[in-house]
Amino acid sequence: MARNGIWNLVKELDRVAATTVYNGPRRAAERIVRDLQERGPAWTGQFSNSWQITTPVTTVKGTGAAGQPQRILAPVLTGQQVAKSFLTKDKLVFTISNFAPYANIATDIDPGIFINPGTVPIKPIEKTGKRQKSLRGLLTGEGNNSRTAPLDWFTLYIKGGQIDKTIQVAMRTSDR
Amino acid sequence: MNYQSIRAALETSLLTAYNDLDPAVPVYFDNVFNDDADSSEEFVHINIQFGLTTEPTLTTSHDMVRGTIVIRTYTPKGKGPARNQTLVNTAFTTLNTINNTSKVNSGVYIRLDGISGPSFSPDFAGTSPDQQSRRAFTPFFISRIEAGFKAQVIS
Repeated sequence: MARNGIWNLVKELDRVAATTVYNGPRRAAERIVRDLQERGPAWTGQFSNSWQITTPVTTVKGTGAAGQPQRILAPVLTGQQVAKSFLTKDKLVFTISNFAPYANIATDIDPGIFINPGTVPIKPIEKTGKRQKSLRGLLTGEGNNSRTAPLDWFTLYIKGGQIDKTIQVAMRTSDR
Repeated sequence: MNYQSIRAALETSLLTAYNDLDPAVPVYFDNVFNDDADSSEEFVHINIQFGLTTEPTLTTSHDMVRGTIVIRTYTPKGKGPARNQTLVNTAFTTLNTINNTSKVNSGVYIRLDGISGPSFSPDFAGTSPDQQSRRAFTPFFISRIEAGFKAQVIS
C-alpha cells in the first residue's frame, strides 16, 4: 500500500473510532440537555442556561445567564483523544448536571421560597394556583402562584422512559 | 388507554396501607391536595405522572404505559427521622407488594423499576445550618421516594 494510502487509512480509522464510541453518546447528551431545557421550568432562563455536560476530557457549561435557552454542544474529539481517554479511564462517561444553586428546588427535589421576579416568564405559564408546602410545582386550587413546568417534570423525564427514547434515537442516528 | 385504572391501581393500594395504620395517616393525591394541611402533623402526598405511552416499533398494543410515582412523606420538624422513616416504609412495602403481584388475565398489570430514596429535606448533613437555609421556611421534615413504572391494561 502506498504511503498516502496508509495515512488516509489512519485518518479514516481515527474518524471511525471517534464516531462509534464517542459521537453517539455526545449527540445523546446534547439532545438530553435540549429536552431538559424544553421541559424544565424557565422564568428568567437562568436555570435553563445552567446545564452542563462533563465529557471524558472537558466540561461544557451553559452561560448561566437569563434569556432564551442556548443549546450546549459537547466538544468533537478525535479518535486518538477518545482512545486515550478510554484507555486511561476504562470507560466513557458523560455527566449532565445543572450548576444553578437552586437546581434541587427547580427539579422539585427540595422545597424552597419563591419570589416573583416581576417579569414575564420566557416560557408560557403552565398552571396557576396556590403553592403547597413550598414545592415549586405543587399548585392547587385558586391562587396567584405560577409554574412553567409540571410537578416532578425532571423525575418523569429520567424515569418515565423519555430519556431512554432520546438516547435510542441519538445512537441510531449516529450509527447511520 | 385507561390512565385512570392505572392510577387507581397504584393509589388504592397506598391509600389502604396508610388508612390501616394506627392512627391512620392522611394521603393526598394529585389535584386533591388539602389546602388546610398545615394543621396536620403528618401526611403523605403522592404524585403520579405518565411518560411514554406507545412503543410502535415493538408492539401494536397501545395499552402499555410508562410513568413515575413520587411519594412525599411529611412529618413534624425537629423530632428526628424515625417517624418519617416508619411512614416511608409503609410506602416501600406497598410498592414492593404491587411489584410482586402476579400477572392477571384482565385488569392492570404493573411493574416498578428500582425505587430510589428516601431522600430527606432538609438534608441531615446539609452544608449549612438549617436555620440559614432557604429550606428552613417549611415546617415539615420531608422525605421522598420515587420509582418509574410500566403498566399494562389487560382486557
